[in-house]
Amino acid sequence: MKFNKFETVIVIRTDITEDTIEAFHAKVFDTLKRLGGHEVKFEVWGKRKLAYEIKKNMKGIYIYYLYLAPPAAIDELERSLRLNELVLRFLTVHLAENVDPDNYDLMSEADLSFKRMRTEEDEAAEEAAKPVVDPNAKPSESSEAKEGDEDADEKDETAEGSDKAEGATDESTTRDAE
Amino acid sequence: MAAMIKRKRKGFQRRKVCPFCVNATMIIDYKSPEILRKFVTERGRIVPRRISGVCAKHQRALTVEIKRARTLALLPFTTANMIK
Repeated sequence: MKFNKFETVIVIRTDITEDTIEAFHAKVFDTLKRLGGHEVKFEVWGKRKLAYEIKKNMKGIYIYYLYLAPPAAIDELERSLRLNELVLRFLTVHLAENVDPDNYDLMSEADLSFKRMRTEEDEAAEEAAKPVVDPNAKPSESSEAKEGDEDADEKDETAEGSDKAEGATDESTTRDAE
Repeated sequence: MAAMIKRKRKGFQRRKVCPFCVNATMIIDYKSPEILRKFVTERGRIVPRRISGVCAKHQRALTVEIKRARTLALLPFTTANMIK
């Protein structure tokens, strides 16, 4: 049987209990097993503020799976995720093809210390570590991109489509032409 | 020709080098939005290569990962509907 390596990140709602998360994980796990998947790694990243509102939710719990599964299993897994009301978002990334699960070295993944993103707990811990930090005291060597963007923001807050960076360079080139 | 390009800029500026080529520990991954955030404007747009100095290969990877991060709400599409 052909196995591919996938990783899936699932964002679920925060207004649920630990038990519900457990139950949710069990369900996903079962689905994976049933479809012939081999779970390699499972991790709960924790609660995190969303960059934008999803179904009136401001925060989400991020869960990460790394597994080997036949390609057809993904359709079924994603279908079940789509039906689950707890799920706000999910993303499956195809990592490798034709992995043999029998010879696959699970330990190589077990100590894989990928850069995990920061969650609320991390932020709280950091806040406690250094309470007085001036957010305005940024280093002065900020890039020209940043400065240009800020200027444009001040000019018109509503003009969404205009390409600010492009506009800036156009200006400079016309000036040069003169 | 090179001198002309130099003159166009306000003052002298060194050619930027791709931060991902210089630092191999900096991995482009949708799972580390803190790194991706440096290559996105304050309003959430992807910073063009000519501004950030990222090489073509890494800019391609960066674009994909930023878009992945956006679908997971790790990065904003736009700040218009930002959670404050």
